[in-house]
Amino acid sequence: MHHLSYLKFIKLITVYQFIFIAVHVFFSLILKPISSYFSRRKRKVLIDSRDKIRELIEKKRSWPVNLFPARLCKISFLVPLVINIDKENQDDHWKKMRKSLFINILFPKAKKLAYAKRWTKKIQAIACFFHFPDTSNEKEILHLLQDSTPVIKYSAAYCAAKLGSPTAVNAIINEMNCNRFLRFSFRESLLKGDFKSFSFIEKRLETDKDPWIRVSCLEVLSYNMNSHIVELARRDLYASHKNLRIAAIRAIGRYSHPISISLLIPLLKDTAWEVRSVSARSLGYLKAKEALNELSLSLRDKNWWVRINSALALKRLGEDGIQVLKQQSPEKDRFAYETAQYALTLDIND
Amino acid sequence: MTEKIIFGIDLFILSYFLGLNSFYIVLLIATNPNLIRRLKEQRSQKSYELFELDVAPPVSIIIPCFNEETNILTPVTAALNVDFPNVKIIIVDDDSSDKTLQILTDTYQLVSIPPIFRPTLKTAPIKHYYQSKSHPNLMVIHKENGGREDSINAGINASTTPFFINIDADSIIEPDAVSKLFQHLLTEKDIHAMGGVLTIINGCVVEKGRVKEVKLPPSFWGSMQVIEYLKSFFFGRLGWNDLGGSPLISGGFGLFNKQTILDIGGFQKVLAGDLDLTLAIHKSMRDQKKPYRIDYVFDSIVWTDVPQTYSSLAIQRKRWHCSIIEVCWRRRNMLFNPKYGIVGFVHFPYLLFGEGFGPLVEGFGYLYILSCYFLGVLNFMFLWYFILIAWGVSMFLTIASLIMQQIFLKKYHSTKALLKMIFLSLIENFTYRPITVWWRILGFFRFFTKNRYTYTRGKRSVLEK
Repeated sequence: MHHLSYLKFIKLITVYQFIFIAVHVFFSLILKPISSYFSRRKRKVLIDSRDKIRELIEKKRSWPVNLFPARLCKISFLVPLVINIDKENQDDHWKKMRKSLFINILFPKAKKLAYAKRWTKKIQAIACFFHFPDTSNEKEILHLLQDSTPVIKYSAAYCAAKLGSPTAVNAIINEMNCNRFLRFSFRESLLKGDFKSFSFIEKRLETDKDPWIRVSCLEVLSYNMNSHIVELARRDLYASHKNLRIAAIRAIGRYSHPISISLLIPLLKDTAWEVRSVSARSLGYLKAKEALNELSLSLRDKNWWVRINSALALKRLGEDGIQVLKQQSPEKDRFAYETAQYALTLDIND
Repeated sequence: MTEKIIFGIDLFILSYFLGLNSFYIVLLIATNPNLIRRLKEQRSQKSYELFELDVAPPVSIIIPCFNEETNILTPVTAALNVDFPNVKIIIVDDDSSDKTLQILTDTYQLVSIPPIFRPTLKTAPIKHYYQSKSHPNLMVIHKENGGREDSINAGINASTTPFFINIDADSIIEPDAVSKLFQHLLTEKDIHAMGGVLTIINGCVVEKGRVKEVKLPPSFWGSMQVIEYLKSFFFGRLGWNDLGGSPLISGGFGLFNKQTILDIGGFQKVLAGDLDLTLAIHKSMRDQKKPYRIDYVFDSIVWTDVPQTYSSLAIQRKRWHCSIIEVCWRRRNMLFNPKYGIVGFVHFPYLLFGEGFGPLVEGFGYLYILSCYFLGVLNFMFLWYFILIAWGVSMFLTIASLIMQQIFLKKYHSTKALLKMIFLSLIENFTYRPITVWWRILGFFRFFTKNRYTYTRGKRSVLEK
C-alpha cells in the first residue's frame, strides 16, 4: 500500500511533466503564427498608408488631420512608415509633411516614452528623435543618453551629436569616459554629427582639468586638427597622466606642421617607453626628416616597442630612413640590426 | 528485506529521473519569456533600424586554424559575408604544416604588417601579422604552434574591439548571425558572454561560404546528432538566461567581452575549455560581486562539421564526458559554495549530478532491469515508469524541439527531411541514446585513467565541394 502511494505520486508528477511540455509546445506553436499574423496585418496597413501618403505627395497636398485613425497614430507604426517613404522620396513637399508629422504627432508621444521604464518604450522614443533630430527634444535625448541599455545610449549619442549644442556635445564627452564598450560609438557619433561640435570640444579642452575628459576631447579632435588644438595639446605633453600624454602626442602627430615635429622630437628621450614609442610612430606618420638622427638613435633603445616604432618611422621617411636601416650592422648593435631588418621586410605604405 | 531493497532502488532511479526532468521543465518554462523578448528585439530592429548603424560598436571574429587547407576559404568567406557594419576578422594560423597560409596569402593578397599589438595574454611567439589588401577588415596572424586556445588568445591580443566572437575553422557563420547576437547584446544590460546555435553542416550544399540547401547528413550518426543538437540548443539553454546565465558557451561559437576574458587570463588549454571558461567567467564576476549576464540567442546560427562515423563519434563523446568530470573536479570549490549563489547551488550540481552522473544512473537502470528480469523479480510497473520517465519525456522533448525548429529556424524545409527526423526521434531512445550512454560511462571512467588528456583530432569533412 505504502509502495503504491509512492508510485501514484510519481505517476502524478510524470503526467504533469507531459502536460507542461505539451503546453509549452502549444505556446510556441501559436506564438509565431500570432506574431506573423499581426506582422502581416501591420505590413498591409503600412503599404496602404504609404500609398495614401504617396498620393498626397504627388498632389502636393498638406497632411489632413484625420489621415490615420487614432489607433495608428503611434510611433511603432508611423516611424517605420516614415523610414519606408524616406527610402524612395526626398522631395521638399515630403520633407515639410514629415516635419509636421514629427512635431505635431510623434514628438509629444516620444517625450512621454523617453521616461518609461521598459526598453521597448524607450526605444520608440529614441527612434523618433533619431529619425528627426530636433533641438526641442534635447532634454529627453540627454536623459536617454544616461540610459543603461546600449542601443538607446548610442542612438541618443548619435541624436545629441546631430543637434550639436554645447550641452549635448559635453554630455557625450562625459559619457565617453564612463563607457568603454560604447566609446567607439560616441566618438563616431561626434565625428559624424554637427560640425560645430568640434569648437565646443575645443572650448572644453581649454578649461577642463580632468585628465580623462581631456583624453576624450583629444581623441575626437585629433580627427580635425588645427594650430589652436596643437597649442592646447602641448600643455599635456608633459602631464603626469600617461594616457593623457599619449593622447596629446597622437593628436599632435596628426597635424602635419613643423611645430608638431619640433614638439615631438624631444619626447624621443623621455623616461617612459610608451611616450618614446608613440612619439617615434607619430614622427613617422608626419614624415619628419628633421627627426632622422634622433630616430636612428632610438633604433638602439633598450625597449623593443621603441625600437620597432623607430624602425617603422624611419621606413616611412623614405629613402633616407631606409638607408639608415640598411646601414645597421649586427656587430654594432644586434637588436637594432634585427629590428631594422624586420622593418625592411614589412609593407607599410599607409 | 529483498523487496525493500528492490523498492529502494526503484524509487532512487525513478526519483533521479523525475528530479532531472522536473528541472528541464523549469528551464522550459523559463524559455517562454525569452522567446517573447527575442521577438520584440527582432521587431524593434525591423521597425527602427537602430542596430546596424555605422556607429554601432565594432566586433572581431577570431578564427583559429591548423592544417585546414581544404576548408579554410569557406569559413573566411562566410565571415566576410556577415551583414554587420563594423566587423574585423582575425584568422590565426597555428603554424600549419600544409598550405593553409599560402592559400590565404594568395586569395586575400596578404602583406606583412608591423606587430602593433601588445601581448596582454601570453601566447606562443608570433611569426608575422598580415593584412589583406583586398579586404581591409581581414587580418591573419601566423604564430608558432601552441594549440587552439593559444591561437584564440593571440587573436584576442590583436583584437581592438570591446567584444569578440570565436568560431572554429570547420564552421560557417550565417550572414545575419552577428546582427542577431547584437540585437540582444544591445538591448540587454551587463552581458559578458553570449552563445548561439550550432547546427550541423554535413550533408548541406555550401556555395561561396553560404549554406544554399539544408539537408540531413547522409549517415545515421550524423542525422542523429542533428536531432540531438536541436534538442540541446532549443531546450535548456534559453531557459538559463533568467536563471543566473548559461552554464556553457559552446567553444564553436561564442561572443565574449574582451576585458572579461583578459581578466580571467584568457582561454586555458584544458579539457572542455569552453565549459571551464564559462564557469571561470561566472566565478570571476561573482568573486568581484559585479552584475553580469551570460545569455544565449537561439536564432543566431553557425554551421559546423560533426563526426560522421561510429568510431569518431565514440571518441568525441568519451572525451566530452571525461571533460565534464574533469572540469567539475577542477572547479569543485564552487559546489554548494554560498559565495557563488545560483551557480554553486544550481549550475554546478546540474553539471555534476545531471550531466556527469546521469549516464551512470541510466546505465545502472538498464542493468538493473535486465538483472531483475533474469532473476524473475522484475516489477513491470517500475519498468513502465522507467520507460515513461527516462525515455518518454526525452522523446517528447525531442519531438517538441523539432516543432520549435520548424517554427523559429525553418532550416529543414523538405517533407522528406522532416519525416526522417520524426522517425529518428521515435527510435532515438532505443538506438542512439543507449549507445551514447555507454560512451559517456566509458568517458566517466576514463577520467580516472592516464588517458584522460589524450586528444585525437577527428577527420575533417570537405565543407564546400
